[in-house]
Amino acid sequence: MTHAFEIERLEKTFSEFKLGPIDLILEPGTVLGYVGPNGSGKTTTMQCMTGLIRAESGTVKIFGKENDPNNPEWKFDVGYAGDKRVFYENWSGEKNLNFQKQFYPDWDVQLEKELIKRFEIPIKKKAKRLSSGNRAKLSLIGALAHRPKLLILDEPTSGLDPVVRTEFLDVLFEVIESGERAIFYSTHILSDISRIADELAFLNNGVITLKTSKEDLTENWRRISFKLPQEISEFPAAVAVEREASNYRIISRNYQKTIDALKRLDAENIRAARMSIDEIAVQILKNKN
Amino acid sequence: MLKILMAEIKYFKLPLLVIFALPLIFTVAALNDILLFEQVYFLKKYFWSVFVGLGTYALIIIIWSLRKKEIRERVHAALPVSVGKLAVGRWIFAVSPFLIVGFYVELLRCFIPVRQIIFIDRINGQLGMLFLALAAVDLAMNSWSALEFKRYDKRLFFTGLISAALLISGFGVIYLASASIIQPLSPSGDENIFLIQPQTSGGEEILFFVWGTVLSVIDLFVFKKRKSFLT
Repeated sequence: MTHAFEIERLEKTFSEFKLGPIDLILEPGTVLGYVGPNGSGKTTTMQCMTGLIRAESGTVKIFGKENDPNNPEWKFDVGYAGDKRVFYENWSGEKNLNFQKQFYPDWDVQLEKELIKRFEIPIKKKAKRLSSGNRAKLSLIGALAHRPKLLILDEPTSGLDPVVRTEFLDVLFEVIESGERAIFYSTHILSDISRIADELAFLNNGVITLKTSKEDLTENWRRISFKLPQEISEFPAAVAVEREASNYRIISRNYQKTIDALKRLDAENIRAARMSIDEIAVQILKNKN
Repeated sequence: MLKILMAEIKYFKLPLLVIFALPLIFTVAALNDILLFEQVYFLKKYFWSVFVGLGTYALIIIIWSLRKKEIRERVHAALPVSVGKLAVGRWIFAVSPFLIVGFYVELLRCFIPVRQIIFIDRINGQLGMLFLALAAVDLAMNSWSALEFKRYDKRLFFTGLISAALLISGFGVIYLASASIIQPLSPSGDENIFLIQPQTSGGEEILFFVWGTVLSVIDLFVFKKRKSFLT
């Protein structure tokens, strides 16, 4: 089966930062959340994928086609909404979309109209006069209207107020439900990710520290409290340990393994509580490995 | 490529219209001896160089600053267009105003009596120099992106080297084109308002255009090698 995208040994070096080597695969119909703190390399990865910057080494294939800047056929399969929303500022939103439309034979005018209506964008207004929320929506319409098989969204909801963000995510939900479209979504707003992602890849200092499914995280991670008279600083699969006298509170990335070990240690009063994706993500990013 | 070129032309239609209309308006004015051209020596003398020469350049500067401000390369790089086509479209858009106005002025010099268009020869000197300067600056900027080494100092060194070579070659061309370039326009020195202004008459200023075109063609290939289209 052809992957929606396949990144192999991607590397890009700046004077004070190095991305990679990155290896990442996304299957069609899947939403992959790309999570990491500011400056971890999320945007750089996406810019390398879309050809806005050139990587030093490694390959990126989109639905089996290499992202060659001289042979841009692969771009027909990609919808990209970047971190910076760039337009012809003195043109209206409508004119900007008309400009984009010329390049995509599969541009769906009906979908474009529906999204404009749905988002309530003042489409006749010049781009430079649009609010940041409306610019984000316009950018998303531009990325969606040619019905790409892969959507690359780089922090699409950053800077948006909660109402606009919810509207934005609702539309994304509908897009996801409607078909086989793969979405690669970067953010540091963890609540967004917990709503839409099937898989998560965590990036720290230019390196992917973990890639797993959302279910895997919610099924395996637990906040565990227990009583143990002796002082122990490390437990199997524990990523954080807090102790107050004989009361322990730990976070485990594999609660079954941790609880088995605790039972062997004769720990008492063992209680395990589920964690939200947001909490888990924070722990993963804090631990960095 | 054509779609992008047409979009740029539509977007900047007003400044482009002014750029192409100015020489036409002044030609008509000169031919009809209107606009006080005959009566007022100052107007006759400076209208061409100020409005057509510097006016064209000022408008081109406005166009390119706006393109830069709106990060146009980034808008275009995201589209399904090959980087080669982007580079050619950009090149045509950049050089055509200079070459069209320059060519038009040369035509005027050939076909219209000198009495009506005195001092017109300065325009192509100005335009050519400015074209050369713009091509050199753009080449230096694109080289900065194309010569992306892991080491910042190496990149700085090579871009500096290219810029220096461009400057030296540019000045060389200017020197060859006009030995009187930094001389006052008249022996009395009372008209030395535009000191850095070649007063060529034998068509030497064509050298500026030729060298500017050479640089812009090199720039076209360097643009294709850019490592980033973010700025």
